[in-house]
Amino acid sequence: MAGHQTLDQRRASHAWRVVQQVKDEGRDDARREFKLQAKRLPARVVTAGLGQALAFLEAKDYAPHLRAALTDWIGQQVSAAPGRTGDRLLRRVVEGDSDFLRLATAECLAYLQWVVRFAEAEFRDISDVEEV
Amino acid sequence: MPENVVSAILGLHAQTSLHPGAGTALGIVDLPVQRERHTRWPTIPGSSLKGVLRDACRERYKSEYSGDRQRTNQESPRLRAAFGPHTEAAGESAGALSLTDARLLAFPVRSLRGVFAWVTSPAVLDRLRRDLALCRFGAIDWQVPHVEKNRVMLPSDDCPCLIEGGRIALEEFLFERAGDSDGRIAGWIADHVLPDSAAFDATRARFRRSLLVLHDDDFDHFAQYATEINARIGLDYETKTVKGGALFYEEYLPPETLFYALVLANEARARANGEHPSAGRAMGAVDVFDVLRETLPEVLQVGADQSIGKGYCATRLARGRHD
Repeated sequence: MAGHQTLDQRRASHAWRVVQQVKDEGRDDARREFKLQAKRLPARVVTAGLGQALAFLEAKDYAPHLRAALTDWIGQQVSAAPGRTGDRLLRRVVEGDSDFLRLATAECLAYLQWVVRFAEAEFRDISDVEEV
Repeated sequence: MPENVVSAILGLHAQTSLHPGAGTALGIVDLPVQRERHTRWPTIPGSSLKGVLRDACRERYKSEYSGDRQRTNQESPRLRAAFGPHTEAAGESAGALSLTDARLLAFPVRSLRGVFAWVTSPAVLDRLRRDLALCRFGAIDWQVPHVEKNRVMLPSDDCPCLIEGGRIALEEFLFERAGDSDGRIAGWIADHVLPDSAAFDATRARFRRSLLVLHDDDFDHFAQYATEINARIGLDYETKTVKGGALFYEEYLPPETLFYALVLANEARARANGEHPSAGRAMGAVDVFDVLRETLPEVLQVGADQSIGKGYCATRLARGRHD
């Protein structure tokens, strides 16, 4: 089935499964964090670079589902991804060459468009901004 | 191109961040900039440019109509000839001035040394050469170079962006210097696309030393992702905290981005007094071109967010050969 889908359909299908998984876990704070961080991540990637943006999420221990989803998707999509299977994306970015970084950046941003869109649709009850 | 057309290129050099908006397009941010479909490189639509230029023209001629903008728009024969009649009379004739979408020529990118560099690529330069031929610019003294991936071609040995080992660091990417360098490309662009006023002497000098030619793929990455992203919010008046749903991200092209558009001036399609051209001599192509030349401001505001200082572009009009 997957062989007949466009790359963008496969991104959408992967992102959909991730968002459903977060939704099914049912914890409000996890859903809030996922939506907030997903929405902010593309801007951070463009502004600071993919490595810095991922390191920020790790340092704050934000949105583990989001980090796992990116690791899984990029691992599937960008062949010759450096590092061992199961390595998290940040490590691969740090150890990879510049071609890998460019491809991973472009792919992450394309994938995140779907994640953000689905998170907005599925977690409509959650505000875009942090509680003050 | 027919003989009776005057052609030129209009250079636009962003002085402040620029948001040629894409309206409803979806992207990595809420409000992306407009991009060409086939390259995904930023562009400014010809329709936007024409509107901005018409407005500048109207401002310039309004003193002839006691400062009345509406009357100027409806009655000024030169404005009508160049840009077409006002909306209600749009069916009478077309304007004689044609503008293409503005194309990206050089994109500024953060550099480890020399603060920033302008980058361009063989595909961009090839397109420029074709456009110059279309505008009858005659012999051009530079060729489109070939550059390998992860390599960079410098305009001169004293490029301020060079680091040890003949390398250049742009954002987080390292590029090796390719063997050749050709300063004529940067020189030609500085002389024909960047503004020629004295205020831009230093900019032109910097450009001559800082225009780097990258492989198309390397250039593409920067043209797609090295833009500015700003978070914008609305505040609740009472609490001075962010209103729910009032956070959005807007993409801007950085200051120093360089574009060019082609300008083609035809003979006017209607006589100055509205009669059919066959009834008498209409304005010639040179007269139409002169309308643009004499009304083009040194700085043009293009795209969104004028009131927060975005979109100010310095202009340059360079005319092709017209025998």
